[in-house]
Amino acid sequence: MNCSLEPAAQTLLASFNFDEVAKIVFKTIVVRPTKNEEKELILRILQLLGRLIKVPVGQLKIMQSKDILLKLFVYYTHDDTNKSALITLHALCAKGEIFKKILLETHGFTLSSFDSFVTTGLANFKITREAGKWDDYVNLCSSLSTFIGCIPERSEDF
Amino acid sequence: MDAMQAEESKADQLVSDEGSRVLLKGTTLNFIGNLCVEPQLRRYISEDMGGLLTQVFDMLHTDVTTKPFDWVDSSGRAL
Repeated sequence: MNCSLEPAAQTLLASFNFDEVAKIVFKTIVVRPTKNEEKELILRILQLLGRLIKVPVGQLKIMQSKDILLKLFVYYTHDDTNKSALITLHALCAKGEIFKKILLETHGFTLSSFDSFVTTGLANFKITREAGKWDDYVNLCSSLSTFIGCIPERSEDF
Repeated sequence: MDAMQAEESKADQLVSDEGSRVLLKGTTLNFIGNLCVEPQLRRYISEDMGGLLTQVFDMLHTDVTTKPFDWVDSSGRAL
């Protein structure tokens, strides 16, 4: 993780089959792990994805994996993994039409597949505004507007 | 009786060897992790000097695909 801060390591790691590692970990460990070691491993994998999304090869591998994308949307809905999953999702949503096409046409997502994303986003919007957590509020507004930019059909939900 | 004792001794040896392997692996990964705290060393490792980063990734990949008993802990350390 420390190394993946560096662009050289991001390029190298993206060239490895990190997507396979992520897929196996996501499939093996239950979605809501109880053991701290398992929680930590999920979190670190999500952080790794958040770093490797910055590299074109990494981005391509993540976008090509339906399993990873599905789990990113799932982990977005959990409090302890919400921000880590969002880093990757935000970068992907920023791709706009390309990402939308991959989700809907390549992987067979439907507009209702984003229900939990919308619900969680709206809930977090309310929480951050009421609690006056303005840093989180700004980040959330940014991520939600990027999501709407990618999937404009869901703009009515907001 | 002798056969039983030999079997027990063999099992003890296996457990001992595995314990040493896990300890060595864990401490090596921790050591590399600590080296990464220093910016210059982190850059060297990030540039895969000595193939270190490749080896750590290979270790992670092997752990995740073969799932030895300590794979969750070991993978966490590698990451």
